[in-house]
Amino acid sequence: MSIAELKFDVAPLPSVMWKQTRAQLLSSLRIPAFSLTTILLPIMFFAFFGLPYVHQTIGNTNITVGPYVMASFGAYAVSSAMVFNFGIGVAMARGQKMDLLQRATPLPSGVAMAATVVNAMVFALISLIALFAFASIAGGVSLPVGTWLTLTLRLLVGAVPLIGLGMAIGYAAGPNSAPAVTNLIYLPMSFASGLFIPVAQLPAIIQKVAPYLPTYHYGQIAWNAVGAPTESMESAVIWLGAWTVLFFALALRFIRLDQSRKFS
Amino acid sequence: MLRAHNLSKKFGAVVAVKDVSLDVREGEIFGFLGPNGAGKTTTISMLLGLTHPSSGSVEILGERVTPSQTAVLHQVGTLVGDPALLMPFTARQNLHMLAYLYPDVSDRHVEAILEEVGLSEAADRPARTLSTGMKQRLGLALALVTEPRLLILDEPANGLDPAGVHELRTLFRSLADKGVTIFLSSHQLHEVELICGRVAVVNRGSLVVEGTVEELTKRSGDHVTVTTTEPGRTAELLRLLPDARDISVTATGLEVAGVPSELVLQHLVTHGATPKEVSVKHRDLEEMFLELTRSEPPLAPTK
Amino acid sequence: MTTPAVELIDVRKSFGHLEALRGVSLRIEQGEVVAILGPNGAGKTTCINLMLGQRRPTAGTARLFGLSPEDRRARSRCGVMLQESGLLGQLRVRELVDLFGSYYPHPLTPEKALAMAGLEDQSRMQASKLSGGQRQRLYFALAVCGDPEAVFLDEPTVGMDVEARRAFLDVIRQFGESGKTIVLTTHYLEEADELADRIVVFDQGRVIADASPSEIKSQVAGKKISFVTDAPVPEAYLAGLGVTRVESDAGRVRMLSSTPEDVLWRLHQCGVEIRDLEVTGVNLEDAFVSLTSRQTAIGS
Repeated sequence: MSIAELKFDVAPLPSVMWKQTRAQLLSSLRIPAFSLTTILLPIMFFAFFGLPYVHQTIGNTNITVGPYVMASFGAYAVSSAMVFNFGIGVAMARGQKMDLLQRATPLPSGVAMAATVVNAMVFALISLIALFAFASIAGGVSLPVGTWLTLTLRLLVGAVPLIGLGMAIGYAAGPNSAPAVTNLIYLPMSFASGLFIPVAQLPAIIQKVAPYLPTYHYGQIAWNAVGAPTESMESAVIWLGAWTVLFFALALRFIRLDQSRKFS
Repeated sequence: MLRAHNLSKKFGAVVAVKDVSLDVREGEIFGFLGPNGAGKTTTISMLLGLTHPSSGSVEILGERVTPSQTAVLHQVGTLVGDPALLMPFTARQNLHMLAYLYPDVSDRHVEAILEEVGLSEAADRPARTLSTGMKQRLGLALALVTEPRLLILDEPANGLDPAGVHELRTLFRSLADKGVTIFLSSHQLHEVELICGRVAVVNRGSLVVEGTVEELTKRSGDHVTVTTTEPGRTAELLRLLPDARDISVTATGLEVAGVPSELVLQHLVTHGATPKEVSVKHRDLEEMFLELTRSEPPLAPTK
Repeated sequence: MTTPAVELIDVRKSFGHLEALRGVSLRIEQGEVVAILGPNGAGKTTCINLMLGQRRPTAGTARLFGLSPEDRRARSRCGVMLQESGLLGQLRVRELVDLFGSYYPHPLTPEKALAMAGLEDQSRMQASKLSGGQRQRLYFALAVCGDPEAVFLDEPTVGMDVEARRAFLDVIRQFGESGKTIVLTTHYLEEADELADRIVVFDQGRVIADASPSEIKSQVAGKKISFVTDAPVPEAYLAGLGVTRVESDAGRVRMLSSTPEDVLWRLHQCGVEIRDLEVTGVNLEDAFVSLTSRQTAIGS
């Protein structure tokens, strides 16, 4: 009458993780509206804002517009991928009650979320590669190999606080309000951080607010990689670290609330 | 009351509905049956003037119905698919908003309808907080509140538990008594068998049969099944009946043909051999339905 | 004694002020086919949710194969078909079945799961493009793809047409015959009657009956009388006979009575013409309605 007589097997975690990631990736790729916008939008912005002046030097720096704008929209590409993927993606999945079914299966909790992170990273990487290719081919932007790599690494790692922001929105908002909320938060934030128009050219009020925004410091680490004058990297890392803690704490709170409403 | 004349509908090369004619008489409860994909929904769509038929016509209360001529539908109550509810508003408010368009409908009537569908207690809850069954009841209330002469309903018992289905049956009966015509479509053939007078079955776009439930579930050869613990004695007794033939013993009793069941029972009771059960062998509506609509090959392999 | 598949030990569940389950103890052995019935709001879905670890009891214990239902090891033996579900709609049917199978240690091949659900023709379709009935079958395929020992089905045949429902019930029956544990909730009492070895009836958060279908039917005394007649039968004719649930539609009259001979005698005396007479045992619906209405009368 003991459970010793029952042998319990479980599916190995690595293969579950691999299959789940692959499935979510395939699923995202099959939504052309999503996959194409993620990849094409940064390229469009670069073409609009950067291409016409690609070889002009900026102010009294020794950096040209090309790499600068490319870094800007690289930052936009990755940060928006993170915030929207999590903000809207997670809210939609919750709205469709995917989490209810997943929880009834032996899928370990956390695997779906980890797969979403990988998904977001893969899309971010793809959009970066597309943007860099476009910038170098159409815009003639040329940088040392080390710079390309540093920029990419910084953009991917530095986006972690924005994953937190996305998760917080995704678990707080419902599927109907998530797109609106995400846009309302992200667009003004990225604009005020100078990702579209350099901060120096923005109205004075916005210039005052900018240094408090996470996307501002995110932009800073990107611009620093291409050689533009920025704040110190230590400062940027501290700010990003603080925002990471804040956003993830918020996300955790909303996740707990959601869990207790559904699964307690 | 409701007539369809040779309705057909083509979507490109696909013929969804082919030459379907219906004649629903006033005051009857008519069942419209068919497997998924048989053309039921498309036909109902044409009846409600939501789709143009490729050919044929629809007449309700003597007036033509097409997507451009839908005036008569004001006198038709419908519940097709998920009820069209305004989610932020309460059940009562939903009803009042509809009733506003119909000056003859009084507040008292709205309350009476809420009572009739069993929503009086939940009347002040926002529609989005209602369970499926309650949303369904609200949908029914919306169909009924305008006091229509004809009801067109698709899966009216959706989301209702057995008690709710029973209440629905009672409601339909009282409506039929008042002369309301009910045209309903359902997969719950046991319910249809209980409540409908006539039914029509469509399969693959065409009408395959139409008739009363009694006719369609006709006993096969007048066989009466008797469940008894004394088959021997019962058989002897039955042989005494002049018209009795084909008396055969079964696992639970026996079968006999040629004699009506009430006579069988009377005879056995009079001779002190009251059986446990007496029933008339007939196929139920579900069996008839399957016979008519079984697709080839069967859906799931059986061992 | 082997480990039961499911055990609920004096379980209580409240949602705020609402007491959904008020002290339920239930034990389902491996290999049983159990149907859980009850009116809406009686606690059926809450009960299944507790069995599966979707919710936690407010008091008492729930066990799945002897472990906590939230233990992944226990869930690796179970397949589930819920009422409320969502899927990655862009994935194809076969891809989804393959994905869900990968959550289990010894899954069936996707082909086999698809065959069981009758979805071979749809294997390359995207899930979002399936019809309602096909979607239900997909959920079923996902419930069985892991080759589970126990299957939990919450109102599985909603939206299916007659043929699909019959095919589905055949598959479930075969499952049950192969020794798997099946726990199913349904409003279609004929389904419960056909499939289940054991029926558990919930009402207002408690178990009010737990027995085989025939035992439950026999708990309701009396017989069902049904006949065809030309003119409506006035209520007065049936006065004082103790008949219940009299229903009359399109010429056919039905009622329940524990003294059918008396009823027939009275009708005969009143000159009611009777054709196609049937006197049979009560079916599960009659038993069920009788049980739950009795409960309301006592409890209210």
